[in-house]
Order: sequence, then C-alpha cells, then structure tokens
Amino acid sequence: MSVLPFPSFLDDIKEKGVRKAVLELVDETVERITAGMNIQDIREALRGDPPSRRPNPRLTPHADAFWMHMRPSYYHQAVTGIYPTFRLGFLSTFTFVIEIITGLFLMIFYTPSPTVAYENMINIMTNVPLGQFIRDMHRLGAEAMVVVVALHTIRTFATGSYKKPRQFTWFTGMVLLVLTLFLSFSGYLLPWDQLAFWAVTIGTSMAEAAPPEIIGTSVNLLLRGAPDIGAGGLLRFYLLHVFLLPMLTVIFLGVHYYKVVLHGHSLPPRLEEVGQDTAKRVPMDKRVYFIPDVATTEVLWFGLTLLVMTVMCIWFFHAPLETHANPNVTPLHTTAPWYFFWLQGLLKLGDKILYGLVVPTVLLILFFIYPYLDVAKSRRYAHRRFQLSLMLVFITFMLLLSYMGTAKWGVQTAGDQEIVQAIAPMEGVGMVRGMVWDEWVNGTYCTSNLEEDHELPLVQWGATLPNPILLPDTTQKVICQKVPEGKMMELMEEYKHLKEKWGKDLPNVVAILTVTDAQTDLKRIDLKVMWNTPELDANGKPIRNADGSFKLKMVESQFNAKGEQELDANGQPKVFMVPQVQSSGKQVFVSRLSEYQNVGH
Amino acid sequence: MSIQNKIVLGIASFVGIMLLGGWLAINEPARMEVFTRQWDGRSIERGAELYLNNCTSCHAVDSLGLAGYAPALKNPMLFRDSNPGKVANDRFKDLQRQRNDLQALVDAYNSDLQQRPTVEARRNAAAEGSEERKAAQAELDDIDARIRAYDPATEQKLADLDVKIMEAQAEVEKYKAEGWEVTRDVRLKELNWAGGLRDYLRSTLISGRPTSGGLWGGNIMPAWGQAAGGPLRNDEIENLVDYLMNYASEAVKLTPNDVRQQFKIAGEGAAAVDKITLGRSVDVMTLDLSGGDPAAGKTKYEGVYGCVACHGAPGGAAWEVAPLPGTYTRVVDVRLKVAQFAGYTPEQYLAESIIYPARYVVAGSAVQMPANFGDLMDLQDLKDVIAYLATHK
Repeated sequence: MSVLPFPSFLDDIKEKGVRKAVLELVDETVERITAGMNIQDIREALRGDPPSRRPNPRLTPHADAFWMHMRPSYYHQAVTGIYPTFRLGFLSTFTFVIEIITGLFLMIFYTPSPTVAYENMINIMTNVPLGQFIRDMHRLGAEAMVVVVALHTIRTFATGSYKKPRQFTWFTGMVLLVLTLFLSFSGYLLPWDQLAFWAVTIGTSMAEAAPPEIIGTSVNLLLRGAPDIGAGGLLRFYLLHVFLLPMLTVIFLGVHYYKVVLHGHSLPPRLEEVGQDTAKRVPMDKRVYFIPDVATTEVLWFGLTLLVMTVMCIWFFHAPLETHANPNVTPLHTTAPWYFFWLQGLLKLGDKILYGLVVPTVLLILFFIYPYLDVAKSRRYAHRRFQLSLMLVFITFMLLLSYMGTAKWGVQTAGDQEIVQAIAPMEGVGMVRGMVWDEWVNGTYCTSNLEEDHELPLVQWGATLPNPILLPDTTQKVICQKVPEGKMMELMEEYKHLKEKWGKDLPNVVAILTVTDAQTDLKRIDLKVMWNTPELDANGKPIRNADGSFKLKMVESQFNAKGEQELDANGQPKVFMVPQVQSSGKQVFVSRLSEYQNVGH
Repeated sequence: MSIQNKIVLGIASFVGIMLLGGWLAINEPARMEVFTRQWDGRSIERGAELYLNNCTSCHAVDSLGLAGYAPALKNPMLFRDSNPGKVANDRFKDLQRQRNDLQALVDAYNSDLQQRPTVEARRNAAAEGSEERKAAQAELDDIDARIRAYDPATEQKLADLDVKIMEAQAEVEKYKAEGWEVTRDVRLKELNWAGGLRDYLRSTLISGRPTSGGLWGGNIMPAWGQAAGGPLRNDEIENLVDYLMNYASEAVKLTPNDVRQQFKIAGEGAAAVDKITLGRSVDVMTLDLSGGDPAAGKTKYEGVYGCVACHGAPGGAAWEVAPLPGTYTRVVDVRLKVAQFAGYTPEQYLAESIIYPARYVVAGSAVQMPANFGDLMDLQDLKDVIAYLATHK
C-alpha cells in the first residue's frame, strides 16, 4: 500500500501488471494533453470512424482546451470545400504564424541601428546557417500575407458575409488588413538598404502632407524620430514591427476568431433564405466536425503551403538586398512597396492633400463602416449586382492606379539616363553586370555601327570633360570597334535597342560602351551616351524641321565640324557655328567574383 | 478527399519539407561561401566606384600616384613584405663586414710573421734565466700559438668572399636600376606599423594623413571616415580597403620604376648626407647631449626632418600629437614624473622619444611617429633638435 493518500503508479503495477499499467498511464497522459481525447479516440478519428463512446470526446477539446476553444467544434458541410472560403482566412493566420517564427530567428541576428543593421543583413546572408532561407521565408510570407489578406477581404465582400450579424467581424477584419499593410511596411525599412530607405522615405512623406502643417510635420516627426529617417526612425520602425503592430494583430486576430466562432461561418448565399442566417443551426446530417475532418484538412494545407513556400525560397524567390542606405543618393525609379503603388498612382493625379490623404482616408472609413451602410438583407449574388459591379470597378481602379504608381507611368526622366539605367541600373543587376565575365572583350563599341570598325560620328571638340573622364575621351576622334560575336554582340544589340527606344528625342544619339581593365579580375565599363542638342519649343519638346529632322542647337566654337582650327586675318582664332554635342553616362565596375549571372538578384 | 488520403498527402508534404530542409542544410556551408565571395566582389566594385570619384584627383586613375599630390597605392613598397633592394644591400654590407673581419685575421697573421724574428732575437739576446728573457719567451709563445691557430685557408676564403661581394654588389646595382631605394624599408616597416596592411589602409582612410601637407606641397590627405569627420561610412571605407587590397597581385610584380610617385617620409632628404648616424640600438643614457645649437636645431626641426609637419599643427580629435609649444615644461612637469623615467634628464627623455617613439606612448595618442630618426640623425643633429625643443618652455 502506498504511503500516499491515493494509489500510486506502483500500486497500479502491482494490481494490473506492468504492461497494462503503463498503457493506461500513457492513455491518461494523452487525454490530458488533448484535453479530452485518449489514444483510442484519436485512432478512431484519424480512421474516419464514428466516436465509440458518449459524450462525443471530439467535442471536449473545444470546451476545455485554450487553443481549440477558438475553433468551432463543427462546420456546415457547405463551407468546408474550397468554395466559399478558399481557405483564405486560414492562410492569413498561417502566414502570420510563419512571420512570427521566422521573425524571431531574424531578430537574433539583427540590431536596429544604422551603423550595423546592413552589416547584420550581410552577416545573415553570408555567415548564419540557413540565414538566407529564413530571410527569404520571412519576406515571401510578408508578401503572401498582404495578398492573402486582401483576397480574403474581397472574398468576404463578394459573398456578402459582412452583413448582419457579422458587421463587427468585418470591422475587425479591416483593422487586420490595415495592420497587415503596416506590418509589412514597417519591416521594409529594417534591412537598411537603398530599397528600404527610399521606399519608406516616400511612404512617410505621405504622412507629412496631412494638413494643417503642424499635424503633418508632427506625425512625420513622430514616425521618423527626426526630420529625416535615421537612427531614431529605424528604431521606431523596428519597435512598431516587432512589438506594437504584432501585439495589435494578435489582439484583433483573437477578436476576429472569437466573432467567427460566435456567428459561425456564413453559408454560401444560395443555401439560405433571403435575410436568414442559419450558420449556427446546422442539421445533424450536414455537420462536419473539426476533429478530425477540418483539423486534418488544415494540417494538410499547412504542410502543402509550407512545402510550396520552401520550394519557392530555395529556387525561385530571394529577398532583395540592395546597397547600403544612402540619404544622399536617390536611386532612379524609386517607388513605395508594391501594395502602396495605388497610393503613389493617386498622388500622381495631382493635389497631394486631396489624393494623398483625403481620398484614401474617405475610402478607408467607407470600408470600415460599409456593413453598417449596406443594410439590404439579401446575400444572393443576383440581388447584389450593384455591389458586385462596384467591387469589380474598385479592383480595376486599384490595379490601374497601381500601374500608374509604378515608374513606368508619368515619370519624366531624360532619355539618355533611361538608356544607361536600363542596361546598368543603379540598383540590381541589368545586362552589363549580368554579362558572363569571361566574355568581356576590352575595347570601345558604339551603337552607330556594330559590324565594323568606324569613326564615332560625334566629337566634342574643345570641350572640358568632367574629372574623372567618362571613357572614351570624346574631345578627340574615337575609333569604335567591330563588336565581337557572342555575348558582347547580344549586349550591344540590346544597348542599340534601348538607344532606339529611349533616344527618340535625342538627335543623332550614339550609345558607347568602353571596356577596360581596372584591376586583376575587375573590369571597368564606361557607358556613355552622346547626342546633338535639339532646339526646344516652349513645352520643352524638340523642334523639327520641315523634312522631319531635328532643328539642332548651334553654338560658337573655335573648331569647325572636322575639328580644325583656323586663324583669321588678324591672327585670332576663327569662330565657327557648330551643332552642340552633349554627353552623359556612368561607370560600372564588374568583378569576376560577383557572378551576377548566377544570382537571381 | 478521404481522411486517409489527406493524411498520406500531409505526411508526404512534411517529409518533403524535411528532405528539402536537410538538402538545404547540407548545401548551406557551400552557399555561404559562394555568397561571401560574391559579396567580396561587390565590395571591390563599390570600392572602385568610390576610388574613381574620390581618390583619382590625387592618387591617379591607375593608382600610380601624381607628382606633387600623392604617392602610388599600386606600389610594391606597400604590398611587399620587404624591399628586395634593401635586402640585397644589407647582404652586401654584411659580406663586406665579414671580409673586413677576415682581412683583420690575415693582417694579424702577417704582422705576427713579421714580428717573430725580432722577438726571437730579443729572447736570444737576453741573459739565461733573466726576467727579460722570460717575457720575450712568453711573447714568442703567444705569437707561435696564434700562427699555429691561423687557418691557412683564410686567404682562399677571402678570395671567395670577394667573388660573393662582387655578385652582391651587382645585385644591389640591379635593384638600384629598377628604382629600389636600397636604404629604405617597405612602407609599413618604415612607419613602424604594428598591424597588418588592411588595418593600415583602413586607419589611414578613416583619419587621413593630416601631416602629409609638409611632404606634398601643402596637399593634405583629409580624413575620409565619418568617425573622423569625413564623408564615408564604415562600409564604404571597407569597400575602399577591399578595392585597394585587390591590387596586391599586381603591385608585388612592379618595381619602383613602374610607379609614378613613391612614398615620402619626414626627413628622408637627410639620409642622403654621409654621416655617422646614431642607429637604432644606441643607448641614449650614455650619450652626451649637451652643447646643441638651438638655431641649427630650428632649421633641422622645421626643414631637414620636417618635425613641424606634425608637431607644429594644433592637435585634433583624429590625430593626437604633442604640440611644440610648452614641450620642455611638459617634459619636466609631467612626463618625468612617470615612474619609468626616474633618473632621466629632460634631454634624455627627449632623445629617447625621438629615437624610440614607441617605447613610451602617452595615453590617447597613436604611435604614428616614424621610428627611423636613429638612421637619419647623427649626434649633433639630436643635440641641436633637443636644444631647440629646450627653448619651448
């Protein structure tokens, strides 16, 4: 007999034998962990058998366990298929969980300070085992979360599931949508690279537009911690990203889930009488229990989605990392994150306050209170043609605005810069850096003729070129070489194509590429664009002659068009009127070690 | 889908994830290595851009230096471990010293041979048993012992050594023709730099060379690092260091003749004067430091040795050197109070500071003072400079 006031495990063994006593102990432990289901119950559930004892042990966890009580114990059969939910709500939570787990790993290797943040990123990529993978997962999960949450919102609107009694569920969902956008946006800054820095600079400058000025500047100051983004701004965004926003998301996720359990999943509209909500009155024969059916489906989705994300992050998706943030250099074609393209597009329409602030705010408020405005009872698609049309118009409108928000629309950049930017962008790879290193052949090549050696048609006689000189030295005659076959030819053909695409307003434009050795295993590529200056009309458009050719701007020069100097009768240099020649471009260095052609980014 | 199928598919998914994870983990070291290499490449590229836009107006696009502005950075004197010209010259000097030693032996032998008959005659002339005879006999025994000990091969050795000396001299001449300054050491040794080349480049880039104006016609290398008030971030400084280090393989193949501008060092003009310098192992406590001429010292301080380039400028955050005003008082009132200088005179302290700048470094300042003044100064130079410093009370 045990010395304890109740029978001990040893007593059990004495009474029942070792085997039986141990099995019972395990069974009991499992039942405690699952808050109601023993091994036999689990086995039955996974085999698809009905429960063998009453009360149904599969319902007990929903009542007794913390995590399970947020899930309904059974669903209507009609909502367990792909339609009508498309599993978007589940996927939203799934991506959020992925973000938390991967985010915790990244936090270990990250310090929110401008002096070390970027170094930390390099360390994660070069020195932390699986660091790149975890970072890719975090980034992919973030992008996916925005997409999934947005689609979840659209789906809820389309099926009319926001209607009474689920107005507040929709409201919390809208809060979660906004939180998702800000979670993603606040994380954008943390790598402290050029992409991050400028996207967030653009994003926060929208806040600055809020009138009156005192509010705008105060909000901006509060967000950035200083007039410009720096150490204070980075720390604030970090704290928003890892503390405040996730905490709010968890709270609202709790409310959202609670409301879903409270009201049940709304059924497909056709299954209900107009104005009825029968989600909580599921007939016995239509019930699909969470355990085991929905639970196994969710685990399956979890596994499949994680597998897809893993495959994506190994082979197809890598989080970008550009050069170190530099407040003094704005990369050409800087944009906000893609999910704020629409806002950038709006801003391009005109007034910063109206389109940057009033319109988005009004839209947002409308979204939040929409269920309280739309009190029509029917959820049937046929009865909601106006709303569904409105939805499609809105989606189209957002896509259009997003397109307008990209650099492709309405951004005026000089053609000569576009040519160079397209072939060797300030950030990213482009064709020049992506060239197979061993295919480089030193020399000067011009788009004026790829096939044979020839003299460069434009010369800047007597001009003063900036130091260091952008090669070749075009103040004297330059011989352009025949382009070697292979990758060099492909590159020059693309260069020529870009020259034709972007150089329409540049008379006699020639794009030149000069390859020289800077060091062992380091090539210096000079990209130079030369053209004659056109005469411009009042709108800044080039003036054309009657024959369609450009009217060229003429300037005084001591050299004639052939580069000759002459003295007049007094022994003074003669002055000629010659077309002005302009040039621009930049140098790019490519190291053999960089292997851009093998890297996706 | 039946529950069994879901379970099978789910298990397959998780097994797939585990396999992929394992595959990823196995390949991870290789991936990190590749990524590191690629990132090194990009660092060099960015360094090249920074160099082109910030450094070429003084150091030239090809990094071979510009007369009157700055020395070459693609420079064997920077990247080589030693100056082959100096190595050859040191060997040449060493052989000469050996030859002198051997010659002394031969000379002594010949002198013994010459003296022996005289001593022998003196002994024979002296009376048997007299003190004089005994002394002469002892002297004769010594001479005989030395003659017996003399290696008859010595003269052959001397001849062999002469051949070696000829070869060594030819080698020195060859290096001289290539432009190697045979009495100078490579840059880091010349500056007595304790760290590696990367550290030297980084440190110089960050702080600049505020003293370089005295050597380069007023063109001072400014501080480039933000830490020292310059424009470049730490990562940009690292990019530049990576770019410069990438010159290593090319630079070691060059000779000084390939380089447009060589490094300069304070007082390098003085080395050319033929004088008996103090060297780098002299004991300052044994020197007689009195009798310096302050006026001559001023000329040497400001001109010949260029001390004023550093010590004449006001101190700053980036580089701390002892300012000239108040030097003598500071030595008497502060430095000599330090325990390790018990028994020093102010002159001895100053002498040690000039010849051995690294022996005692005042907290907060870096040892940037060249350690080669022993090779440049003779005793009079040292006395004069100290006498000049003694006027700065």
